[in-house]
Amino acid sequence: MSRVPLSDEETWVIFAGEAFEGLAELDASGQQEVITRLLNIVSSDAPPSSFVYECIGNLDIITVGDQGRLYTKVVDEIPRENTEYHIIFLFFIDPVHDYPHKALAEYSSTAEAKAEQVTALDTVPDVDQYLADNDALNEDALRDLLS
Amino acid sequence: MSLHSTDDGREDDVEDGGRPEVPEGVLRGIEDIAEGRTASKEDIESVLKF
Repeated sequence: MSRVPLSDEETWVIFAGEAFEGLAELDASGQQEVITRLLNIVSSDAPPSSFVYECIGNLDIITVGDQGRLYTKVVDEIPRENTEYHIIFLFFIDPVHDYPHKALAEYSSTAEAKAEQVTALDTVPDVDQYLADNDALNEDALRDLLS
Repeated sequence: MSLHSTDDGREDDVEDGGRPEVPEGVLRGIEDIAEGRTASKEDIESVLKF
């Protein structure tokens, strides 16, 4: 059943291919934990940026479960007519927050600039089309995944 | 909380003006968005184990 939003704000989640592959590798409970966490954020009246645990450069880190981390870029308040959109770009799911050095890479200024560039939506002429083109998931879609 | 281990002498990189480190997958994820490699609801449904 579709829920009637209390405000005209909507939060959407875009899964990068890497995040998708990470989700696929999790066990059932880990997958449920990630999707439930995202659902809780998008269904909240608070903006998604309020769920950010820490920032690394321009990356927004969101906790999931006891040890997991979602590496994201949260873009709040994309103005379009009378609606405000928030988008969570989910780059990577780290289920254990454990960092063997071989799996680490420098977050270079080039990488940081690229993250900024690919999540900058100032010049997007049609946000709805952008969301469709990038397979963005809203509250209903996330709820369906859990049902 | 730091992403750096405490026993390799590199934990002060950021404080010293160096760049932070992140899991390599983060960089691949950024590249995915740049290249339009995103996962749809149907993609995600296909890998769920519950």
